[in-house]
Amino acid sequence: MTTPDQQEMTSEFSVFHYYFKLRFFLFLREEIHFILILLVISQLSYAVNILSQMTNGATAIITDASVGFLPLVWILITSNIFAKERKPSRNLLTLTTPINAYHRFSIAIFITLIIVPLATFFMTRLLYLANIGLASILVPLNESTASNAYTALTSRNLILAMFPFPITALSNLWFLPITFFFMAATFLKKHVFLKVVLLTYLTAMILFLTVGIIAVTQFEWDPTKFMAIFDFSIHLLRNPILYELAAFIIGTLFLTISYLRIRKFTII
Amino acid sequence: MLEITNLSFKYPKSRKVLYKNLHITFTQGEIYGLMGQNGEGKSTLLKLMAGLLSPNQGQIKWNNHLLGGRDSLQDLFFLPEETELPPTSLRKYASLLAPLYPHFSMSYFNHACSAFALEIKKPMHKMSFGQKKKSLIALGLATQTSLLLLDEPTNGLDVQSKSTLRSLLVEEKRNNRTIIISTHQARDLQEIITALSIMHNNSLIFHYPLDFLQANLTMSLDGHDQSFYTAPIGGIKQSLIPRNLPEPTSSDESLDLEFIYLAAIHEQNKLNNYLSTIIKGG
Repeated sequence: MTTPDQQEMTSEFSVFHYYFKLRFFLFLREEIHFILILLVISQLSYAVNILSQMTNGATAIITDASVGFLPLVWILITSNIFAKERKPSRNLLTLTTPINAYHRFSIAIFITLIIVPLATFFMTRLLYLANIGLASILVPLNESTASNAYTALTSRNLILAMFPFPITALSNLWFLPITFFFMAATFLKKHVFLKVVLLTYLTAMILFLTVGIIAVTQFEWDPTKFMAIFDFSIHLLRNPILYELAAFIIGTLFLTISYLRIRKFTII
Repeated sequence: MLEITNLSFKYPKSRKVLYKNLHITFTQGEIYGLMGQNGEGKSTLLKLMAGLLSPNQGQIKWNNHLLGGRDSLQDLFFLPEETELPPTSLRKYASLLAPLYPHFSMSYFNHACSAFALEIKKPMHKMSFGQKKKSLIALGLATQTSLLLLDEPTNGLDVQSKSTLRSLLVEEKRNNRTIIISTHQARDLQEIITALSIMHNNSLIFHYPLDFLQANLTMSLDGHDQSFYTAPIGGIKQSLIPRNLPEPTSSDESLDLEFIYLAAIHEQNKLNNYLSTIIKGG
């Protein structure tokens, strides 16, 4: 027998579950083109690589270009999904379903922060693996050694090639940008991706100029004195766990600000 | 019962304040026609009722509970004037939406779809404007929520579909649902509306049951000293007059909602004074 609280929780969970099904289904229908473009571009780059190796020989296995595109696809999908969740401007039918804005937002985060990165990462891994397999068949052996990069490939090297992100890059490429784009989408109504890229560029330029001016006026171009400013950052970069912790705290701060902003959009 | 108390609202980048201290009550089982010129805030009021906008001041309560909780959300459906529909079939979308509404009736959904002659396998985003509207109406009616908010439901509908909509809404009235319809096309829904609310200058200036209006007002083809408002309709001069005038007048039994609307915005004080005196028993 269940208590009223348990029933409430079950009901809350079931509504969450059904809305997730609805939202995920719509995601698959509406944003799948981003993933397909990622797969097509990745496949094209592998194909070019294999063709080049077929002509020039293989000193190393084909490079994995998809790694560069993955974070781009993640933030594009993030900007798109949250733009749809934040305002009653786009899909009112979804927004007026009986689920509150916090739940809707949490589902959007779950999709963009967990499901999309994991799914796309594993899809590109499979594609990469398939292309390595294809290359090992198509790329001819080196005439002098009667071998190539694929015949000499060990399991360890293969695994290292398949999982290319070093720990320090994980926050930079995944958690920080996605949470930052979420926060940005709570402030910007339209063209979130474009505006964030432009604003980031402008901010970087302003910082660069400010740092340059400080360097000239305060330190008279003394590199030792000047670089001392960045001691803490360098310390962070040399300590991956500390760096990840800092990035996690900053990303969580972005998410917290985003959650606090939800009340601005809707009373649901 | 939907109760709005002391409501004020202003869009963030606008100077215009909509509905200063608005008080209004919508009772169960009625079909309200919400009329007003463009920009009077009818759609905004519906969005506030649906919880899509947050009031700057005041409260909106549904059955004595502040709007926003699970109970109120499961019990209301909002049909927007325009919306982007997802790239999936109506049937699939209904099956995904149904579990979110405890009283969703798939048989009623099929009934509404066949009444509107909708192609339920066609992707919704490829439908024409009228078909999209009908799809949303079918979904909204099938949710079986107690409160149904319809923003310009007849826009884009052909004559046959308007007639079907009227029949479906009459069925809903029997189910004791509260339906609030924002419309410019009062004549389309004249036969089914049971109460009339008029917004003018961003305020609610008129809010009466239609029975009450029928009992106390009538249309006259003669000019009359006591008429509230006189204007030509189709080249024929007509007047809105009190029903219980001592001297006989050639009156037309049915009230024209658009004429009442015009009378209310042009002769607001005169008409409201008369009707409120009757309510107070004068």
